[in-house]
Amino acid sequence: MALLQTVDLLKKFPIRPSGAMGRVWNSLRGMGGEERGEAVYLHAVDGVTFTIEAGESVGLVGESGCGKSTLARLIARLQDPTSGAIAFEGRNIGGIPASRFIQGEKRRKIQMVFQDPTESLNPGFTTFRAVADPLLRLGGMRSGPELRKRVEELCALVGLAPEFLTRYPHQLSGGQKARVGIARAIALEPSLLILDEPTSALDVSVQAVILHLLEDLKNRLGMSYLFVSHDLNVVRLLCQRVLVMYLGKIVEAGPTREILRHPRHPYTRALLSAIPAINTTERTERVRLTGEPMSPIDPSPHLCRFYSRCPQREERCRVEMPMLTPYPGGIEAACHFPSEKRENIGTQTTVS
Amino acid sequence: MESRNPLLAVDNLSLEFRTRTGVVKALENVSFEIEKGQTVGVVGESGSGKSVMSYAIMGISDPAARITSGRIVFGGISLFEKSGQELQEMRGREISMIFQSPRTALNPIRTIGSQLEDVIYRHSSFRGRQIRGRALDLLNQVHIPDPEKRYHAYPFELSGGMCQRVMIAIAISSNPWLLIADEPVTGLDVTTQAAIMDLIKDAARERNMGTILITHDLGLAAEYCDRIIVMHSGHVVEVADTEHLFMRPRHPYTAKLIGATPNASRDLAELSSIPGNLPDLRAELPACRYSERCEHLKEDCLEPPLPRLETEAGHLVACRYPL
Repeated sequence: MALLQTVDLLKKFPIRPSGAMGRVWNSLRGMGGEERGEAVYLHAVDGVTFTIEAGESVGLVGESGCGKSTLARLIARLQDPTSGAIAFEGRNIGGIPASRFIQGEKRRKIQMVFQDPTESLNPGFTTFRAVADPLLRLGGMRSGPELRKRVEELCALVGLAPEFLTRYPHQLSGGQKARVGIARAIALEPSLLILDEPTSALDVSVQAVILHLLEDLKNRLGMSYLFVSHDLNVVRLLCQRVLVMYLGKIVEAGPTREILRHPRHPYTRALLSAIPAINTTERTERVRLTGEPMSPIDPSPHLCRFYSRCPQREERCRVEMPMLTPYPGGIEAACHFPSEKRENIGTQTTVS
Repeated sequence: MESRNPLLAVDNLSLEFRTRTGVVKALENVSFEIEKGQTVGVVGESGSGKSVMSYAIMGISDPAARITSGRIVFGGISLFEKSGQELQEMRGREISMIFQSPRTALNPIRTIGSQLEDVIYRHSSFRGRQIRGRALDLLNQVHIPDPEKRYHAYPFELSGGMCQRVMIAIAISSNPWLLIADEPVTGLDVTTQAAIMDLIKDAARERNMGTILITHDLGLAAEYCDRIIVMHSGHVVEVADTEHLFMRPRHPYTAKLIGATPNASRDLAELSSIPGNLPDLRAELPACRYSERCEHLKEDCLEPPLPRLETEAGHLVACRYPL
């Protein structure tokens, strides 16, 4: 049984109300359709189905605005899906409202590390209080020597010296703040840890340390990771499997190695070829994307989401939405005209 | 490098900030040159002085900054000898700058067209109707789709990548000799990053414009720069042509920085980190500011002066015992 499974997960945000309010809104904005007053929705996550096995690390990549953060928040149950199911340890948690989920017993099982360590820590909390907070709220612990021992243990686990316990976020460096964010997320020993761009605000030297720490913690505590990032080279280091998202849909999924070696979807190819490489042998022929991404507001259900920028679009892509189709190597890709060409990256040996 | 007349020469520049808690020695004896049409990358961790240096070149340093030694020579003339008025004329016309977050660099309550027109009016001989024509032409050059319509757009109506294109249009409007791009693509998606960098590169090639690319992304510097300057806590620790630098880094810091950058073939186990942090620049510092983090530290490393060895032609390294 998979640790987490989502089925046809959908999240729409209303950007224009329906009914009388919608009519007023439309006339004010001069948007037309004053008579109809229909609601208009932004489709952030549109029919996403995937699984995470126990102890597995799954990467989620895509550009900003593709819905990867919304998907992470749906799974973390910080937001309610419009429809679809989220099965966690065999139980559907998708139907529990986020406001009630926070008190439930599954809350401690799914924890999240947020993107910007500076923005996501309470500036008025010392390190001790930030890490102790989840233990007090959800871990059933009381203030006392036992709590202190547990907090010190957690800080040692993420490599924070005891002297940092009394410090406030402004007295910590970026790397230290990232460690506090990780310590409080693993305090309750979750089985699924969602990491939303945990290293994108850090220097490479610090990023390397945090990546090593995450790998070490995974092995020691047996957690599963959902690693959200826009950097495929970082995802590659931690994740066995990767999901590529474009405008609310998963366009390609499969083992990281296979996808890097033989991407099928044109968007994945563009994404891979755009990564700047130090080593000239790792550079691939640039797939240039022209055009603008399509609007995520009430998109056509038949038009491929990548159509507006796709270098190999054809008539069929306009009338029939491509579905995820299995390919050799465990890859699934949603494209009518998948690439046959292999990439030479990921097969080279390092030159340093 | 043999040319006696570089476009820009920064010579022995030292700069410090006077703060309440002490004097921060932000730059010390920084020297490098840029030729016409050359793209030079400046890399290093945050806090290494990359931005401070570019602000000093633009003459827009913080009021607390004080230049204690050295000169900046642009087109044969020392910038410190110019008057405020002359610098004002030069900025935007001969040296332009692109900043990290285009959305905050643009005025949020004015249309992009009017902001572009301001710069054209200030720095060119176009007047009246011509200004608008020139502005539309520039928006076209930076590949903004439907420029007539975007002309009247406010920054919030455009994506981050589009805003950066507008910034580039503003920066190249007067065909400057030197463009300083301070982290121009940080925070943008990789696909957008590539498009923006291609645009900067094409603009530079067409105009034979020198470019300083400030970035913390070594991959980006490797792909787009002819020459690379590595900075560490206010020192230039290594300068070399891009290929040389990555093929054979001579400074221990450069080697560590390369080793910490994830690439397409390195495993997590092979990804090294750099021990320690940047030193506190207010304190008494040893000659080599990297010494505290260096694995090859020897006793005389702490003694001044900081060496500046030329290991090969054009490959400079500030280390007594280069790798």
